[in-house]
Amino acid sequence: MEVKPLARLSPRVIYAFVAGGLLLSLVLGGIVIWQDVVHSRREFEQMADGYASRVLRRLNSNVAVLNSIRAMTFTLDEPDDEQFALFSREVLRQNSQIRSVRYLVRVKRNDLSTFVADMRKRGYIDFHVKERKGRRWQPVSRHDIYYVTKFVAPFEPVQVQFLGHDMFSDPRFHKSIYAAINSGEAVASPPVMLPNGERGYFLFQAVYAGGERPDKLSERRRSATRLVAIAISIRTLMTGLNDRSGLGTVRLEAMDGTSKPSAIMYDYRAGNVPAASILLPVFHFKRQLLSGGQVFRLSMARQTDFGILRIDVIMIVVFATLLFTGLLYYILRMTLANRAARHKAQAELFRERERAAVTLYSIADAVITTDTDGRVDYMNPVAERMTGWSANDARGAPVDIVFSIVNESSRSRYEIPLHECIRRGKIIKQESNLVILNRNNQQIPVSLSIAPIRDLDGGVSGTVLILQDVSQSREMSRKLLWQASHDGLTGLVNRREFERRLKYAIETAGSEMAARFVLYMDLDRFKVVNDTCGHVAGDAMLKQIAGLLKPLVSGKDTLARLGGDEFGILLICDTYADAEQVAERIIDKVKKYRFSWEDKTFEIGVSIGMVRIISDEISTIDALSHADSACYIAKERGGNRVHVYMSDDDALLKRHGEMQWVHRITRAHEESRFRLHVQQIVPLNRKEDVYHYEILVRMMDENGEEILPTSFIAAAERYNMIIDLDKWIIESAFSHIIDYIACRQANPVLPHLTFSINLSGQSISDPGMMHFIAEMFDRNPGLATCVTFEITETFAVSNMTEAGEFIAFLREKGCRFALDDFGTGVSSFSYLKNLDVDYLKIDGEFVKDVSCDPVDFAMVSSINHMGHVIGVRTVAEYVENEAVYECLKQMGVDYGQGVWMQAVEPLSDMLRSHLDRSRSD
Amino acid sequence: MKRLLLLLLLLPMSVMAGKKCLLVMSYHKGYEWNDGIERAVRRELHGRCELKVFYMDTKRNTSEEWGKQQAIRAKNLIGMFRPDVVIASDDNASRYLVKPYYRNARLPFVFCGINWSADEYGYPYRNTTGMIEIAPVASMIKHLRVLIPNVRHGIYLSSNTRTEHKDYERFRSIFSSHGIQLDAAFVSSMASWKTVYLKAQKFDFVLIGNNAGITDWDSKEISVFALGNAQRLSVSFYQWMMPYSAFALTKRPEEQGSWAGKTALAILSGLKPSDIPVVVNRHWDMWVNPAFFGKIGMRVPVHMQYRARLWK
Repeated sequence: MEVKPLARLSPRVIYAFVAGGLLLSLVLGGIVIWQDVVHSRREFEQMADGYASRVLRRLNSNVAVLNSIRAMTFTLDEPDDEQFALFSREVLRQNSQIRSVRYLVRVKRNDLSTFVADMRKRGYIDFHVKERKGRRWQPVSRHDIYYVTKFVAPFEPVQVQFLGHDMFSDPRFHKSIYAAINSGEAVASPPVMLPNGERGYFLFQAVYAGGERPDKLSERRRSATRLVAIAISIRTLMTGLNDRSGLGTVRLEAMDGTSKPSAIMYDYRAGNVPAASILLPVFHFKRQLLSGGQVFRLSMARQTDFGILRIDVIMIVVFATLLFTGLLYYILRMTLANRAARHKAQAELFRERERAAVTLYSIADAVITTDTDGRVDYMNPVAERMTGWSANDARGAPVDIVFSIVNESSRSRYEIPLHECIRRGKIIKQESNLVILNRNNQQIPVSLSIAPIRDLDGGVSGTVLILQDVSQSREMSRKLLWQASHDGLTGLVNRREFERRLKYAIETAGSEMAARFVLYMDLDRFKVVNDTCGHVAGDAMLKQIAGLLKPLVSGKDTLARLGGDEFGILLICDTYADAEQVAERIIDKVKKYRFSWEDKTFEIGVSIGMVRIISDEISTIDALSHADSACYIAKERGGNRVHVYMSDDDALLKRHGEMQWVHRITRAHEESRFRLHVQQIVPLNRKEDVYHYEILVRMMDENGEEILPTSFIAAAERYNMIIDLDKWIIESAFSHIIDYIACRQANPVLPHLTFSINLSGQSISDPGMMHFIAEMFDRNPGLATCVTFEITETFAVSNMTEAGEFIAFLREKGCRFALDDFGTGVSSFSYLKNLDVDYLKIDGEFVKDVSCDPVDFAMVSSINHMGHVIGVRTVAEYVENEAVYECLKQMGVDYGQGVWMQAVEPLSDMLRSHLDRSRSD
Repeated sequence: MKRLLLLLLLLPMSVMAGKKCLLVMSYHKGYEWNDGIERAVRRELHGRCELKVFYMDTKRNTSEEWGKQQAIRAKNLIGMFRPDVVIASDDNASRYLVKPYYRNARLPFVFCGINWSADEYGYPYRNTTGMIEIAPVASMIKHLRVLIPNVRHGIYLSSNTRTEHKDYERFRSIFSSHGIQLDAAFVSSMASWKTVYLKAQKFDFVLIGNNAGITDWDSKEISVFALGNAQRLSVSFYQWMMPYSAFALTKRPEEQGSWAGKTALAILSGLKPSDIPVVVNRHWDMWVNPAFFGKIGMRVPVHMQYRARLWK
């Protein structure tokens, strides 16, 4: 299955969404703005139209006012001052835009002086007819007809100065007055500056003699004896109209005959418009107004400001659009995210399935899944191989049909606890003693684990069975167990197992009908072989002896190698005679046996001590001691014989045996018949300037024969003479080492030597020993660094506290420690990290066959690896051929020790050879 | 813009704030006509011009010498006060002060209350303008023709003063132009006034002139006398003569004072006196004394009832 890349929103899409959202919000906002502008324009036009109508009405109202004045003058024939003043006062009061009212009378040139005289007679003592030249008054020029201002209102000094003003001669008014006379209508003057400084215009209307407007033009000209005029303030007229502020700029222009504006009569600008408003349109409205024969053009323009905009609506639209866009983006993003998450989950699931499939395919364990009814749902390839079923064939079949499991020991059928697992919902493990019987009738040791499979609701939907092929581990365990209880050389039960069985035999002695006998056997002349042909030959002979003895005992008996050349048999038979018969057969068999090694043939014998276990009151040690003593007697009596231990001579025999060893060791001490030998410990994978040696002890018997430590060390330990022996070894070794150190100080060419000294458990447990050694170290600087103490793993693990304290105390002095015979204690790995040692000496039993025995190889490799992991160097004993050497070297073991590499030699010889070599160098 | 307009409005006031005006009254304080003019002048100039008033008191002191002395005092005051414009109220101020000392001078003068006789003072000067005080003679004639359709002959009864003589000449001329003969009787005492009043009852109407200058005038006695002896329509141009008249068209002293004040302000704001024509008063009040109408058996016409003010 190909997993497509998950869809994601690229930055370009996000930008597009942002841009699109902004664009959409701008468009929608723009539409709202456009609607507002249109609405505002409509309002403006309605307002402007109304305003123009009001302006026109106001302009026309002036005409109406003038008409009323005209009617008044016509009604009164000739108003007097008071009448004119009263009427004008009302006009001015009610029409604020009218600044003045004038009453003009036509005066012909010939009547001018009479008219002036009459006015003066009425009290206007300085009255004269005048005309305006700029800002100055001057007597009127000569004309045929004058229209002279006779009355003026309001009656104020500023207005009164216009009394006598001949407006007809004023070029600003001449055309208008003339038009008013000719038309009989109200006629507006061009824009002028009114006396009070305001911009305005005059409206003139003729009052014809006889009242009515003559039809003929000539008659109108002839009978227009009076004029009425009003001065109109444009500012007041326009200001008096409401709603001007909403119009922005208002301009009223007077038009000339060419439809062009002749003068601006009113120009109003509203307050400042915000600069930003220039972004908005300007509304224009123009209308021509005709009033009093004058054409006005009213122009209005308003710069739209943001006030017309429904900001709240725009904001809502913009935000709603942005929100909508954001929502759309969010939905899209969530959709894509969900799709991506789904794809990711699918890919993850696919990967998990692949991983699970590959894992299950690759896993070394058989994995079988079932449903809750115990029917097979899935099997991995290992399960197929293990069961002999293909996954397809097995699918749907009950598990107990596909394979069955039996107890390895009892061979009874093992009911697979599927239903218990389902019921309890817990993992069930069964790791020991199970063997699967497959379709091909193969038996495969397995460990079984059953786990519930849970669904999403937590319920159990099936089980998964894991069957692990434990053939190798079980074989290794079996071998380790065997090694722990057997002698690696001969394959016979070792001393430990022998003692365990002996103990069992003692415990059951009272309840069993059959009698039990312990046969303690010691080979005669074994040392000859050993010394002549080496350990290998000795071992070979021991193996052959073992093979020789095996057929002589039944399956219910126990044949053991107790150590060195000593063998033991726990014999179960009915009578002494039966037991002695077995012993005799053994003696006979060994006597006839011939050992050939290379070109040599050896004849050996065997001495047997026999003791019957008749009561459970005897201890294992006592039983063995009795048998040993009996064996010693048999050997003392020339060998090749059996001596039966009898209870009545027990004390004598026991004492005799013990005293023999005590006597021999004591005498050896007294006669200085102990010798120190060394065997070099050689680096396997690197060169070192240091030479390492293990110090070995030999006891010389009375005949000058060497007695191997395996013979007397056990006795020395048994009879508490080992501490003294260890002290002697230490003192002697230290003496040599100190001497060598002195020589080396004098002769630096000499190499650095280190020495490993074996310490017994009893010596370690003896507080005096520790201080004895420390004192020696303190007295001899440089000594400690040359010394490594070897303590057995068995003792160290059994006496962890004592061993730890001993090691810690002396390590502070500078010496090192090695754990000897490592591997003999199966559970020692877990304790190793608690022991502060420098070397691990791998037990020789593992080493000697390491090149050909995979189990030994695995053991040595594991110990070596483990030692390196915790920072401890490894030493392999029993390197007795090249294959072992190469194997250890390849494996990475640090040091090797054995006769193939370096034979045992006297300590003094070794030191002498170094001294000699240094001299020769 | 509003600030500019406010500045423009306040500009004249500020300009005139430091201006000084002098009002030279021909008569004394307490004289009703005189007080009316002063009251109006004060109202117009209030807050716009520092005003001082000088009373020549020539109504109670009618001698030529007094008038000249008062004119000198006024001139001295002008020298000390240094007014920007001087208002000369009524004839004696023009006669004794303006004409002799300020004709065509630089100091502008506004006169008022000049009874038609401005020619006597040579007005207008370049530095003068003002309002001529005229009586509404033409209007009076119109009303007389309504009240007395065949009116032809009347008598003018007044105190014996220069002003009254001058007024009579103006009245006589106008009445004459309308075809009505107007005789005159000038008296100096209340007794003489009573005598003439009794004789006047044979005319079509009696035009009651000013009583100023009749020192023993007893208003209550005269009013009782006049009403008790009324047989003809008595008319007047003076409001204060209404207790003795049936009908009056009266000038308003306030109009004179108001115009004088406005003109003074116009001059202070820049207008030259010569640009402001001399004008005449144009407002008057119509008064009806119902007691006299009843006494002489005449009904008050309807149009008069609408407009006239009743004297109580």
